[in-house]
Amino acid sequence: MKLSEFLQRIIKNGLIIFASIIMILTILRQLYTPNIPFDLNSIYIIMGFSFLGALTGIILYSPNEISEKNMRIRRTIHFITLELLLIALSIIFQIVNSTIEVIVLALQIAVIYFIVRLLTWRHDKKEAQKINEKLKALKNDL
Amino acid sequence: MNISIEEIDKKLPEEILIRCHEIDEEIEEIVRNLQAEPLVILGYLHDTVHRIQLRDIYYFEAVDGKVFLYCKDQVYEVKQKLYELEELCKVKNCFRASKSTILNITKISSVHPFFSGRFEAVLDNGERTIISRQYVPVLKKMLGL
Repeated sequence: MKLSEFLQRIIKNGLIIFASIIMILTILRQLYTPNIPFDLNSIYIIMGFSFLGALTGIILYSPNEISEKNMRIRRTIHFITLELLLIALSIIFQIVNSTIEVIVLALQIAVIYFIVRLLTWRHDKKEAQKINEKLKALKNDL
Repeated sequence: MNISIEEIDKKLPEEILIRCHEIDEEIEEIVRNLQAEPLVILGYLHDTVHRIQLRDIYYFEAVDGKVFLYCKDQVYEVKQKLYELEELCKVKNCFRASKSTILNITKISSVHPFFSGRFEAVLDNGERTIISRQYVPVLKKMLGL
């Protein structure tokens, strides 16, 4: 994949993350606190978090073919960078104010990251199963 | 569908006769396959040139500006560029699996996902190679998924 295509994907991911957060927040607000309005500052913070979070995807980009070991190292660096970035931004914007809150946030990010990877892997496993069935059929036809 | 093979006298011309209820896409595909010449790639090993049929090739790989083709237990250098081979072989069950490899689908034994988001193809000769996530839809399309 070319760098320009990769950057396009990062922008697309940033927009998807932003839209998803806004939609979830809107529904939760509607359910629990329908009288509190969204303030402009919160929207900018969510926008910033979304695009900076998506930007960390650049760690996974390589113009050359990379080994599985290298990919795993990059995944680990990506996770650590995402943790540090989101915690740093949360401290700057005073979303978290104590050590306990920082630890809870770090754990939340880790759990979400792991769930996303697990769901992706499970989806890939189903895809691989379908591919393997087709490969088997192809071999039988030959 | 029954398949019959009849041995005939050497004096008579050889022919393939398809008896079907109607000429549909499947029949046309069989005819196309019968008419198609087997694709041959020239592989260079030391000072000799080998004519290698595509059905014997497991995959092509570009390494340090050179392109190699891998058979069951032999590796040959190829003079074509990877994108030229991709164009040449895409109608013959081959697909781009990553930036540096083209895989022969008929030589893939199975496919497994990695937790990192990529796929691994295990070939019939036991070799393992990576399929980039972006090329998985190409493989699926070629398999009719």
